[in-house]
Amino acid sequence: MRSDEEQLESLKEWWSKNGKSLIAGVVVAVAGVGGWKAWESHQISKAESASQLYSELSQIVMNGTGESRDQQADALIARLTGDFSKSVYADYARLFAARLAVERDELDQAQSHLRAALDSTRVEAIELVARLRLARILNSQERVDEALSLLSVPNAGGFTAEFEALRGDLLMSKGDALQAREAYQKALEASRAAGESAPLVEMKLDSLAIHGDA
Amino acid sequence: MLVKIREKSRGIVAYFLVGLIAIAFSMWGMDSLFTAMRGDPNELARVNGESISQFQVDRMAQQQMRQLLQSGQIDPEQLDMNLLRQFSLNQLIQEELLRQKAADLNMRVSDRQVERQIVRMRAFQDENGRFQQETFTQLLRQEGLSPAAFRAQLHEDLVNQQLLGGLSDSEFVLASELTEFQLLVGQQRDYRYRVIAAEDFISQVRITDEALEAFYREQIARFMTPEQIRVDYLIFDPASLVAGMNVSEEELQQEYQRYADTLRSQSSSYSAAHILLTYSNNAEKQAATQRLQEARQEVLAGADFAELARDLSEDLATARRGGELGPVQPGSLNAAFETALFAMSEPGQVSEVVETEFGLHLIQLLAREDASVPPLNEVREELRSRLLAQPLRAATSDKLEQLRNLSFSSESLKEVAEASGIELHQSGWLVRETLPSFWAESAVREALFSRDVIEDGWITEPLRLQDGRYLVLARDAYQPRQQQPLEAVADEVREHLTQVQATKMAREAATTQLEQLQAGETLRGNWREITGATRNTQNAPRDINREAFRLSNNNTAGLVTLANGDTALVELQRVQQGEVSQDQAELAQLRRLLLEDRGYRLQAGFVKQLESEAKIELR
Repeated sequence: MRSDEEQLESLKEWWSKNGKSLIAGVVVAVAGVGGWKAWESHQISKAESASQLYSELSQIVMNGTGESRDQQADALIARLTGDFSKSVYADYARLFAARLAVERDELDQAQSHLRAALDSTRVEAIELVARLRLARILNSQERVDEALSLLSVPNAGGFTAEFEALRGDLLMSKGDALQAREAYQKALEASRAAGESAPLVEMKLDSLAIHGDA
Repeated sequence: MLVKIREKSRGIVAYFLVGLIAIAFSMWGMDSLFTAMRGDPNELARVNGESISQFQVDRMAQQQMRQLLQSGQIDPEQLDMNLLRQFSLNQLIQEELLRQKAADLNMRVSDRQVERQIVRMRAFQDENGRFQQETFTQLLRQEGLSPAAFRAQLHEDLVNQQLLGGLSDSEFVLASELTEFQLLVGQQRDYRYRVIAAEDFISQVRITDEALEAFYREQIARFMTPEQIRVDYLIFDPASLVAGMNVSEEELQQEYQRYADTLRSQSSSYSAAHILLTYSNNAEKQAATQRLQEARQEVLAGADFAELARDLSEDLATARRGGELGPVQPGSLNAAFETALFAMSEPGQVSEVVETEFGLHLIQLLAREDASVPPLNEVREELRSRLLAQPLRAATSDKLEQLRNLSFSSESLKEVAEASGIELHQSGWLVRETLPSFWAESAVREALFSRDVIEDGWITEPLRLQDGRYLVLARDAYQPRQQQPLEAVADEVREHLTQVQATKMAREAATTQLEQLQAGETLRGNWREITGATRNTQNAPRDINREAFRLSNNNTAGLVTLANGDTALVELQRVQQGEVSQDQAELAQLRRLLLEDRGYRLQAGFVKQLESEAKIELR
């Protein structure tokens, strides 16, 4: 057992060795936590404003009517893609912009919105859907090869059925019934695997039936 | 020098450690340290490391069960909790995937948005569409949720909706797609068909014994008898105890009296008028009594009660209406008052002076409508069973106790039957998949094929049936799944092979006809003509219509073998593309339907996509 004085002495010694760095450490840590929290709350409020704008946008596009609908929606889209361009809300805003353009029959503009979404998003599902929609517009403009090349991804994941069904349509317009049939078949299989029906694909497959198989 | 370096390095380590701990706290909070330390024994699944517990799954399954039962569309007996749990687990996994993705993408909903959503929910509003705090708390309590938990849940739901809605709500339909859809779906076809019946070839079919045996050997697994059991059983019907119970005529009379009294007092209606006088001492009371007695005499002599009430009554509210009280419900007034009132039978009759806590009353019966009490004979049976209910319950529970003890201690069900005086029955062979009548009830089915019964030969406890009777059973014979010998199934096999052969011959005959048709020959007779058939037409059998839609202008004829073995020869005559509507309202409606369908598929696709990216472990 050491005496109290000895203990006090060793404590003092320890303090003289480590005291400064300990205080510095605590100060740095407190500053760090404070800074982190401030940054975090800034991020939260930023995300919440984007979310608010996005909710309004979706509300207006789904329920609005007339010219004011497009004007209000365009203003919201501009703010989302400008002030929050890196957020997922901006991705969705671009998809909405494409929808509005299609409704106005401005297919080229719709394409550029979809391309922007395709290039900027970091969400795979959004990328796949943007590809799909672009390819559909190209198909309607009879730009079949461009559409086909957009659809050639290694794995269309949860959207395989939609990808293959569209590929089937595109191959049909190229006159390649054999490959079209294969694509429709894949689409049908993907739908069935997910427990869903695909009546349109079945109709198209039927019309491509090879004689003799049932 | 060396000491200096050591001091310095210690300082750096201290910085580093404190910094590290501080970061951990700020990022994940205190909880993280604790949850990291304990594993969850209730865990059912892990989604990217986040666990889903048995508790969550059970709670959701129970919620769904409650909803299903409330909807009244499902029989509680048929509810399969395991299926509901499986369903709930899937749903929780999907919600967790969405939650993680939304968090990953830094998607958020502010508390204000949550509040606004709550205020907008129909369930919490009154009929004027205003939010009702009381309804809100009450409904939450019914669901066993705290407001904070509900808000958190709603918060999550809203974020998930944003994540999913971004894909489905931004969907569009191109004009060319709308046209293509109408051309395809609305297509109509003209065609004709003829059926080559398999039945016509049956007489030509010869099945040899060798073929029979070969088929039996090949398909041996098809010829198994199912698992089946035959049991001895007895049925105890509590209603049978009634026969041995007696109700004396006297008891019945008493019960009838009670019944009639209650009915009269509950369903009769009286209306009355009164005159009230109050008093504050004995002298006043006497005077008041006297005054009322005089009034009574006056009324009996022909004076108008209403007039007197207006003049005399101190019940000012009714005095103005001539003392009228209106209809009097039994039990709503003072007992003495009611007794006096109900004792009168003729409208216009006046009571003696009645004393209540309000004062002294004189009552006149204004109108009386008696409930009609059915005669004893009409309600005899009902009263009898009412009288017997209590003793019957007691006797039933005694009998069940006896049966339970007997079935536990007896060697055979026959002993139980003899000791209890209940008739013994024997069932036929019972197959698990096709149980008749009460054998199919889940409790019975479970008992029938339980180890206790099948292997150990035990007698079951009394099992309650849905109709209120009780069943006790014990195995008589049991047969596991087993091979049937060829002799036992020869007829069945022969019939099957004959059918197969006839089907084949019909197909061959049809093929010949198809070739003749394709060679340009004319086939006469029994064609059926179909014109303007849609894809869902009712005018032709489904398989045949579908075949007609598989044909095309460069391949106009085909065969389809139907479920009954017949083969149809189908020849396409004309294809007419679907009509493209010009009606804007119709087109808008169609567009809406297509958007809805696509939106649904996109959301499902998104969830599938998340599943394919995630690491999901099931326990």
